[in-house]
Amino acid sequence: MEYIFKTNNLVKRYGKFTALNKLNMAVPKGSIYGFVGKNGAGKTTLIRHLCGLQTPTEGSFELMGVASDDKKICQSRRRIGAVVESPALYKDMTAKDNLKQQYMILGLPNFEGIDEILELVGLSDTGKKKAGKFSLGMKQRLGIGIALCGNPDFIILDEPTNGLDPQGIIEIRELILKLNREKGITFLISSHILDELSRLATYYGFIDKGAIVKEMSAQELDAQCRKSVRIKVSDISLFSRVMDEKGYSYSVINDNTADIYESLTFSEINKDLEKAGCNIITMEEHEESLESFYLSLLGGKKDA
Amino acid sequence: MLRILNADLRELLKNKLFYLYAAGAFVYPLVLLGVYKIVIHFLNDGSAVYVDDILTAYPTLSIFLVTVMIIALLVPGFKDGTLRNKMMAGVTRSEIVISMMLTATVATVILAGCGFLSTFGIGCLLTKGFSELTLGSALLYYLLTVLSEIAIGVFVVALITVFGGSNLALVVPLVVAFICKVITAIVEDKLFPEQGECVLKGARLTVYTLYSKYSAYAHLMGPTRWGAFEISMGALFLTTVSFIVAIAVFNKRDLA
Repeated sequence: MEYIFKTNNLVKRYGKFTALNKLNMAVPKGSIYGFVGKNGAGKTTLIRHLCGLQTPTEGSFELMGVASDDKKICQSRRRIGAVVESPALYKDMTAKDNLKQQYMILGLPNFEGIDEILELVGLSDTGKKKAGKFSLGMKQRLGIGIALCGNPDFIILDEPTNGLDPQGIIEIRELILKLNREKGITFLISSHILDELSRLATYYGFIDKGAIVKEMSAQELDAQCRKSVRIKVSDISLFSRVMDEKGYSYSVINDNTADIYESLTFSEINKDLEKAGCNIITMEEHEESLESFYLSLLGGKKDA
Repeated sequence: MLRILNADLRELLKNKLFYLYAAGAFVYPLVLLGVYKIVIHFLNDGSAVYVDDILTAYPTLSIFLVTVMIIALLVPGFKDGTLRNKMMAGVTRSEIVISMMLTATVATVILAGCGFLSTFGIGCLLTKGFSELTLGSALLYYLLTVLSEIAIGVFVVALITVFGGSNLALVVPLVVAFICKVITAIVEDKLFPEQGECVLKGARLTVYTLYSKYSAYAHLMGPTRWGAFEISMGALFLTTVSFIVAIAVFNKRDLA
């Protein structure tokens, strides 16, 4: 798999506080990477490193194959766009002028493509209205518009739906999906709204206390979260043999527990297992959302 | 480098606040003239207002005008995240600092130009002309004033790169300007007392003289006592030190 961003035992310390603790993560190219963690877990610190605002205390990272201590990292950064915390706008300028400003910073030879970006983020009819007078949703979309200048390969969005109304959230989601599908842009999205993230992400990274606890694809997460029958049995090897013989889809959780992904009644399973000499201890319906998966993974309250 | 400078200058010219400060620099000599006229009217001692009076009074305000303008232009970039856009556009930190300093210099020169036009315009139309200064010495005085203002502008940029993002960036440059003004008043009083001769000796005399000769802040306190060499060297020294400190600090510091 090709990765657009990779870290190698990344450490960031502020005095005695360790914000990133030997963090290892990899963002696959073309993915929408959902970056999940509690407040203070280290999400924004990592994003600041990516954007060049901060430098690692130890360890390193690679952005588009260029190491963080390589001078060419500045060139790699030209191929990324970001909206970190709040959109960075020139409040005295119109939407178009904001994009022109970013074009000039990027050193692009002309202003070609600005109208297309405005159209894409739905701000083509804002005319002479200054960005300072935009609604929160419009500011967020302009922030994404600025991030889109120069046709980036990788866009970082830190809490992109923060403070948006439901309509705004839908608009931003659709925009991200469109850019990912049509332009092949890789996204790294940190969000507290797990339900929203689950509608977008194709890959997940769960961070806690400055370290990645788990990375997985959306398919793997779906498999973990899909509706199943969780069963506790006396002998897991006998259980596995019966399931294989019957051709049922299942996964073993531990040495006496497994999940069966079939619609079966208790009597059906019980009959087959009893015949093989395996007893059922408990059996219940099981379904896990991203939120409950997150809580089971990281523990704590619902403050992702 | 040019792309970031180009963008920064565009940002400057699109900033409404900048025009407000330029207008302030233009109006101040007029206000000064009005105040002088009122005072002379009440004194009724036959004295008159000359270009010299307005010209030498302008720099005392310009210290604060330049400081406040640069704070207003540059500090928001640290707070609203627009600085981040530059860093992600592949611009190096050194380039950002140099561009900030050049932009501050351009802004300072434009501000001084407004003050110049206003002072000389008013001087020609509404005063009795030059008293002790000639047109040539007045122009030289103005040029040296601009040099000192540029040095102070670059120094303020350096302070902003050190404290940028925190409220200290808003306060420290102004506090420094105020303290330097107070120090200058004390130094001038000791070195050139109105009555009697200077009684300073030894190291204190050397330090006071060096400050008076080479401090850019000291030169913006009315009629200058030193030549073009001292003033230029003072401005060059402050600019160079500010540049080195700003580059060194900004390349190392973490930004939010």
